[in-house]
Amino acid sequence: MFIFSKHSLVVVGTILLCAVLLISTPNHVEALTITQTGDTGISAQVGTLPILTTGGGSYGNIQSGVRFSGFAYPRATVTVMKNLTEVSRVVADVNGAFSVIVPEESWQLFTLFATDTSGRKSTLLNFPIVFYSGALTDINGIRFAPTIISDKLSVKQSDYLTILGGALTRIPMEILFDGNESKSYTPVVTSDGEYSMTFPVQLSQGEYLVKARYVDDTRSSRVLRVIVGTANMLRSEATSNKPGDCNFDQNVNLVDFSILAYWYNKQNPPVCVDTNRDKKIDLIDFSILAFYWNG
Amino acid sequence: MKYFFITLLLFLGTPFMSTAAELSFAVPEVVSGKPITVTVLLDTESESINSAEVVLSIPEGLLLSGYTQTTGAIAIWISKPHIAADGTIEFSGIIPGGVERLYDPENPQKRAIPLVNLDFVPTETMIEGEFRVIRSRILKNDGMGTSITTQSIPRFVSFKTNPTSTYRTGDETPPEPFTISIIESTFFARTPRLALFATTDAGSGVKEYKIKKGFGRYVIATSPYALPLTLWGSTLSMQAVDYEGNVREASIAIPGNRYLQGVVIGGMLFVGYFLYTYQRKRKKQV
Repeated sequence: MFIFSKHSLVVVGTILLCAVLLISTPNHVEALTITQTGDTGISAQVGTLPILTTGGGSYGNIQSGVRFSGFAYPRATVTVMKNLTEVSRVVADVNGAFSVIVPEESWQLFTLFATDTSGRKSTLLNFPIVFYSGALTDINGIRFAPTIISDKLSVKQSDYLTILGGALTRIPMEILFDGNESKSYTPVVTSDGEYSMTFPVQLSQGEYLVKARYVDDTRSSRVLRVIVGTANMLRSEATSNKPGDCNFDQNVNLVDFSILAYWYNKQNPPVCVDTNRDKKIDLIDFSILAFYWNG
Repeated sequence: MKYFFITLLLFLGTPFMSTAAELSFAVPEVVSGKPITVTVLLDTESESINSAEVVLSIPEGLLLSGYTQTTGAIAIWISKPHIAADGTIEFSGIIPGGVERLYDPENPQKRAIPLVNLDFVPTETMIEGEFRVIRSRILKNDGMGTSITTQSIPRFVSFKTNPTSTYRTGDETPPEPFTISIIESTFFARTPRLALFATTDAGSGVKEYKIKKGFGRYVIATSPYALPLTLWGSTLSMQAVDYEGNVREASIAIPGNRYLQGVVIGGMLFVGYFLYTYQRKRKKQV
């Protein structure tokens, strides 16, 4: 038998008030990001270029270190990371040329990427380097592949698709579609290092991998997935279509790696971590994540 | 005639056969009283690779004592170098963006990338045997996780040394300061709330991490560490311990889970409303 006085109602009311206050209190997580990487950026020539050492003596105030030089995009920002932590950044000139010196004394894995003036990032470029005391290692001839983005994730057959990005001027480049059939397009790069191409998609229905590259280069931009189908979907309308982007923040980074690592070797993983859809999390999923990593 | 065609096919096919990547070992001269550092090298034959998974056997009388995190190409570990149940050494990790070759200005022909430097201590006087890759998986940086053919070259070693079960490096510096990050989860999400942590130790390497929730006891943990949903907040304390026993501590305040709080508060509101309605009905009846 329930008998309630005014006092009991006051008690219930107080509890409810406390509950409302509790739920309205913001939830602060005083955590810092562990490490972040940038995105991708690849040189066409760096694998075969000579590496020169100016032995003996120093270069400026640096006793030993590395000089990275080459071409990104006009006014692009080139970021240098050491063990996936940013250590330096430099802005390229109007022709896209850049040069940056980083002091270092021991073996190190350096990672470079370029960000064009519209904020699009290149693919990552890694350099494991051996250093010698009193010497400056010169790694030159670096060339980042173009950046790329599309206005749509999914495009209706014969409807218009826009592909745009940053690239070096005066170097012929192409946009490649690879899927049920292959097709290439030739955009024109403006003097400020931007290209934009809108065209009707005359391809059979299916998923296509789209990338940009310089004609004289085998390396390419990051890869976009574009579906040619029966409806349009703007990129801005989509949550994410990056493989491994499990927190849907458009970045593939350490957070996504950690979610993947949690599901490693566990049964029945969520779809977002199972990047190759084979219902298991193994090294292949990590490899796909590493390919799409963009910080 | 038959042999002519077979030879012709082999001759024509040779240029199109893919070359294999090569795993090998570099073992420096052994100095008595110092750890034996073995470098696992990978020559990718100019193929860009971004993932490696290696299982290797080591000579009897050697014990894995650590690894040097800052002198290998593997940027992020999936599984840090450790001794497996069958006595083999296993490790796996990724290199975001991929890597093709080493850049050594004094030896430009050296292309093999050091994946990891493993430290061993001798437990017997005479060490004789092979460092050998039992199995490995090296994946291309192509967005599809394509395996590349890999061959390996075992390395035979034979030397006398002073056995020691506890090698002292003289490292008195604790691991580098580190922070703990929390990846929040939702009430219905399948991936729980995760704690992420990582640090390095240049002296002797990070041996293990220990974690403590609230007033509980420290237990060994690995990142990512799954945290249960709790109604109330608490403090998560961590210790990074290097191979010489030096400790670096970090902590973070974890709030109570808002979704769980929402469920509890929703329940309380429902009960409150029910009781209030019941009270009014009773008053009307009276």
